[in-house]
Amino acid sequence: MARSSTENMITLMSSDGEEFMVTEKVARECTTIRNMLEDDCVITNIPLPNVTSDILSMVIEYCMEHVAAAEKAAAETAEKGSSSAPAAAKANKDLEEWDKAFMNVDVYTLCDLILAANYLNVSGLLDLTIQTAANLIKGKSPEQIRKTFHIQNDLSLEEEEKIRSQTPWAFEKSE
Amino acid sequence: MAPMGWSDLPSELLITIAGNLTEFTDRIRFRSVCSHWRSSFPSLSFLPLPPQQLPWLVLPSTTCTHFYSLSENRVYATPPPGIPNNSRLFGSASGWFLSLSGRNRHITISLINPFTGASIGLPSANPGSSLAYVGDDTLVWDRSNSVVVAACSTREGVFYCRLGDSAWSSIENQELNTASSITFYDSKFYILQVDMCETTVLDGETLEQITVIAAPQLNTPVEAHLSVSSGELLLLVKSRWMYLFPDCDSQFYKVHRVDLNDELVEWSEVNDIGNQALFVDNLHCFLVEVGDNSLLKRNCIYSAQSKTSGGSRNLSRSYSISIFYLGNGNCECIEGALIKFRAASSRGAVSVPTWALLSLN
Repeated sequence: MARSSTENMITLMSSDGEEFMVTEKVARECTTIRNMLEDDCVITNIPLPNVTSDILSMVIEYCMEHVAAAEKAAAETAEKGSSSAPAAAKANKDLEEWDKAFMNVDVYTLCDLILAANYLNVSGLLDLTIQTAANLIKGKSPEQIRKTFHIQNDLSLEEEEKIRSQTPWAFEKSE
Repeated sequence: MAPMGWSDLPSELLITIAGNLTEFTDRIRFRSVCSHWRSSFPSLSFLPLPPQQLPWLVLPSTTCTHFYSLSENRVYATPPPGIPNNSRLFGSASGWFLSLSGRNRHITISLINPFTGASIGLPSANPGSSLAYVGDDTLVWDRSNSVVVAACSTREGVFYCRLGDSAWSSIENQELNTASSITFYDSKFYILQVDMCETTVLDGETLEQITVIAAPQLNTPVEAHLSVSSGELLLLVKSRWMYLFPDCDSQFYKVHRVDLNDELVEWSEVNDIGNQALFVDNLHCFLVEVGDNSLLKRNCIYSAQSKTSGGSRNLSRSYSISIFYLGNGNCECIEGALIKFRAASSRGAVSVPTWALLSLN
C-alpha cells in the first residue's frame, strides 16, 4: 500500500469522552481499528465506548513503543543493507524489558488492559497481559490467588470439599 | 459498559489464562478459585496439557507415597487418591502406574492414574508365577491401549494381560524368557533381555514377534535400559565405572543408538541426543523433549537414586537426582527440596524411586 509522507492522524475517543490523536500507523496496531479503517478509509474519528481514558492512554503507549521499535529495526536494516543479528537481539531484549516494566501495574489495571487488548484486538498486548496474569497465579494456593485478584470465594463448603478430595495434594500448603 | 473484575472476566479470556499455566497443579488450583473460574474451565481435560510436561519422581515411604515435582522443586506429601494402602507403585511414561498391593501369595494388581484418580483392575498375580515375587526394584512393565506386559527382571517369565482378562498369561515365545526393560512405542512392545543382549519387538495387539534386534557388543553384564522414540532405539548402559566408586553419587552412562528405519542393525555410540533428556531409574527409561524455555537441560541423563541410612530402629531413606551431561561426561546433583526430604523406611520396604510422566488419558 502506498504511503503519503505526511502521516494520517486518527482521533480515538475514550468512553469518558477524552480524545487521543494518534498516527494511523499506531492506530493500525489495533486490529479492530485497522478493520474499521479498511472498511471506511476516510474515517478519522473513532469512538471507543468500551475503553476508559486511562486504559486507552496505556494501550496507545504500548502501540507507540512497538511501532517505534519496528520502525527503528526497519531503518537499521535499510541503512546497513542487512540486519545485524546482535543488534536485533539487543533491540528485542530492550523491548522485552520495556514490556516487563509496562506490566508493573495493579491487578485492576491488568484486568482492564486484558479487556481492552481483547476488544481492540492488540495481539501482542493481549499475549503479554494474559501471560502476566498466568504468572501471578503460578505456584499460589486458591486462597492466595483470591487474595491477589480480590476475588470472593463463592464456592460452597461442599463444593470445595469435593474439589479437594479429588486432588488433595494440589491443596497442600507449601513449606 | 459495567466495570468488570477478575471474577467476571469473560470465560474465553479466563481459559486463555489457564492455558498459559504449564503446571497441572496450577490448573487444579485455578479451578478452585471461584464458581465463575471453575465453570470457565469445566474439567481438567477441557484443555490439552502443554506438550512439555516435566516428569515427577515417585518416592516410596512406609508412611505414604510422596511425589516430587521437578518443575516446582517440591515434595508433595499428600498422595493422590485411589492409591491402595501399602501398595507399591511403578511409574511409566504413559502417565499410568502399575500398583501392586498385598503380600505373599495374593498380590492385587491394578493400573492407576494418580493424577486423575482413574483406576483399572487387573488380574491378581497367579500364585507361583514370578510376578508374585516381584521385589521393589524388579518390576518392569508398559502398556498399550488394551494390553499390559510385565515381568520380574530377576526371574524368568514375561507376562501379559488384556484389559478385562481374568488371569495373566505367559508370552508364548521360546526366545523370550526374561525382560530387563519393556517399552511400548508406536503399536509395538520392545523387550530388552540384557543377558541375551537383544531386543525382541512384539506386535502391540497380537504380541507376535516382529523382529529381534541384536544389541551392540557390551563387555560385561551391565544395567541397561531401552528408550524408543521417533524411529530410533536408544540403549542406555550404566558403565562399570560406577561400581568402582560405590560411594560416589555420580552416574556414568553410555548411550547406543540404532535406526529402526534402517534394515541393517548398526549400533553407534552417541554423545549427543539433541534437544532431549533421558530419564532413568532402576526400572525404566524414557525420553523427554527439551523446549526453549524448559527447566530441563538438553542432552542430559536424569537418574534417580535412593540411599538408606540410620540404625535398624529408625531407618530413613533419602533420594537424589543426578544429571549426567552426555556431551562432556560431567555429573551434578539437583539441589533443593529433594535433598532435605527424608522418607520413613523399614527393612524390606519399598525403596526405589520411579519417574513418571503425568497424563490426563
